[in-house]
Amino acid sequence: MKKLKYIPILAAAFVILSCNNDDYLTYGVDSRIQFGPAPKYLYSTSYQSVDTLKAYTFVYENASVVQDTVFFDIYTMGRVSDQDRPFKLKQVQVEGVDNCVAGVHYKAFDDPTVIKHYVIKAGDTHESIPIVFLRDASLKQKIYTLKIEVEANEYFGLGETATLWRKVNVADRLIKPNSWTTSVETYYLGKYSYVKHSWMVAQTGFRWDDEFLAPIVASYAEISYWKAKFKELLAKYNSNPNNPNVPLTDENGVLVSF
Amino acid sequence: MKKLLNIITVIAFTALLNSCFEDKGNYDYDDPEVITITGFESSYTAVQGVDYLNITPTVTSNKPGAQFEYYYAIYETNVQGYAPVLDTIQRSGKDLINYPVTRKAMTYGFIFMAKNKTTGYTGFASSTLNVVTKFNDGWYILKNVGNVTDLDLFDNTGKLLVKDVLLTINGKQLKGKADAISFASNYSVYDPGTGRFVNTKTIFPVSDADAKAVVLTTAKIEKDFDQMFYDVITEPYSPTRFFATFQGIWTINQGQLYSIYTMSSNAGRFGAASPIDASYTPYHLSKYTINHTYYGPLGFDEISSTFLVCPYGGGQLVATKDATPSDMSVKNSNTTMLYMGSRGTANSYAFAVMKSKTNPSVKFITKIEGFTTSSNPTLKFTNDTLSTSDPAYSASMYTMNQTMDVLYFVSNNHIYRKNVASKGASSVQLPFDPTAGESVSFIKHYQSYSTYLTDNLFVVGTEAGGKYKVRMFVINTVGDLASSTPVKTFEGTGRAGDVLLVFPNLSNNNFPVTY
Repeated sequence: MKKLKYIPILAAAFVILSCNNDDYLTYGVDSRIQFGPAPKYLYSTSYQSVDTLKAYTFVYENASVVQDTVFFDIYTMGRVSDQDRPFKLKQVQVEGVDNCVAGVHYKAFDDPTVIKHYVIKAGDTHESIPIVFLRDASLKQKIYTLKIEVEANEYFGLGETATLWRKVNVADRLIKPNSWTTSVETYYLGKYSYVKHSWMVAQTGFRWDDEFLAPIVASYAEISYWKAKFKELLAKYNSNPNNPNVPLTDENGVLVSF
Repeated sequence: MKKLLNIITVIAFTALLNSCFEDKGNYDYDDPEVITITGFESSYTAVQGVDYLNITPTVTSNKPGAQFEYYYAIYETNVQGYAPVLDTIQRSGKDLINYPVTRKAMTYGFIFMAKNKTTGYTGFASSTLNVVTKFNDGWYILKNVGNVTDLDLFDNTGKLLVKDVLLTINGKQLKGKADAISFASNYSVYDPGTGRFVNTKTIFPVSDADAKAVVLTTAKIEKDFDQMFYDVITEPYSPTRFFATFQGIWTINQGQLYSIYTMSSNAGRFGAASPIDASYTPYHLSKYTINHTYYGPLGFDEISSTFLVCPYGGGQLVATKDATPSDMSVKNSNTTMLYMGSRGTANSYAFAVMKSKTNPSVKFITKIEGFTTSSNPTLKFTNDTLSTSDPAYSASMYTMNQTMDVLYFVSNNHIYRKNVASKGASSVQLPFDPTAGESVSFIKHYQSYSTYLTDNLFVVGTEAGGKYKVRMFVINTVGDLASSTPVKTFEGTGRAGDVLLVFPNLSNNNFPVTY
């Protein structure tokens, strides 16, 4: 009877060994919808999560610009339809950040000016969908986050769990580009700060936003060039006592370095 | 403890049961099949758009009843950042007949495969296919007419093939006077056909005010000088010879060092100038550098009189260390470098000619040892002070023999050699003297290489009346000219500044990169 205690252990061992991968959703007859990378990267495994998080700032735009658009790619699974098929988006609240407010920071998904874009056209399996952001005064003070998810409706079920959402950080001030990844921070540009970012823009005259930084990060030679260039520019900047904030120190009291 | 052991035993036993699998057996105890291929040469060379391949190999097997199917395939060999693709060019028969060679001019891996359909075994024979053009086989002379520099291309007999190559192909030339021409097999050039940057054999003609990157097989200018940099490069340009190893390509502009790390994908553009220290203290590198296969080239800062190693892929110039004993310090030696030259691609030492800043009347030849030992080497200098009566003291140009310790130099338009293996050797005038009215424009030593250059040659460029002559002499065992009559002479318009031998298999390390 004492040996009965080994039965649960034996059972547990079998349970562990009997684990296997969950089956992926396959392209069957069910229509499903999910986000994905740009079409040119759709079949490249290393790009599957490249557009998961985007950053947008109005700071480079003229004051007359009161709204601007960020696009995401969305794809269907299942059979192609010969009629237009609307899909639904919803905002999901994110804990610990300032969440965007519909009608204040972005156009609500049921706004008549945007809802017409949330449709998969007849005979198509892909759409580039617009999220329209509004230049509210509060964006100058804080970075706001909009997390969106697709919702099931009469036309579409949900696709792969990991690809049901996208997130945008939006502001009207310099904002950390998503391409400034942990790897970029570790090996090339160092820790991000608002002061460092502003100084980079002032020194080079370039927008150091995602559009500018992403192709640079993709090239070892070019990101290495900029690392070396910023080291040189910073040494020259710090050697001139007439420059403000010398040696260059960020908003956290940390000396800026590359 | 015992309880824990029991649990571990049960888990291990269970895992053991689950790890069993059925051995389905796949054993064959027959003698291995040997497929023999003959008649497929180890190398083929064909002129692009002109030649056809005709290959009729013989294939046999030691297994009876063999029935073969055949494949010919090629692949790129000089790639960086992507995997080459095996491209089947024929799978219909054993013989490759009248196959037109229209591929991009470069060196390919070339494979012939014979598969025995009965057994499933395949025999391979590998070769190289050199697709050449008239532009990658011959001698380039870098010359200037007035203040404009271009290239003339000659064949191995001295026949002019193309005059003013850059003007003819590109409609433009270099500004300034001819200085040097270099080669790199690993310069990255965008290929619109594949959408990639690919390693491309490239020559770099350099004048005293300009330089360009020119694709060797087409003679097309890939990049003007300012297009070769991420930095904004402003005129006046002051480039030096480009120098390449398998790990990097360097050049110096206005005394600042620029480099490309060629072991990763790149766009053929030089990165930021390397600083000499963390404070970005001003420096100005001499144009004389010594390349090494594995470590960065050795350079000399003319401001601080300091020897430094050029780093790969940007970053700070690397300090060197003093050997003990040594006749000169690696740093702050208060000297001017008049010349520094390689002693061959594989040698562990080089020579330089220096002048003291403290006492400008003092000039000396120094043997430099140790730069091949590490990335921050310890250098030993052995100095030999030149007598003011030695013609080497008043020389205007120098070059090193690549196969022996002989320094050549030009003094008062006469050419001399000096054995520098030991101190105090006399300078000896060469038996060739420029004819009246000719002035020497450059000298160079070319070491023999494979079948492309069967002799060690001493090269003399002269100018007279707006015409150049480039004479090549065979060198004997003491470094003197075997005959005062040249074995090759190239003639053209202008003043010659340098010469470069090119052939389809040319690679970075065939010849040292040196003045």
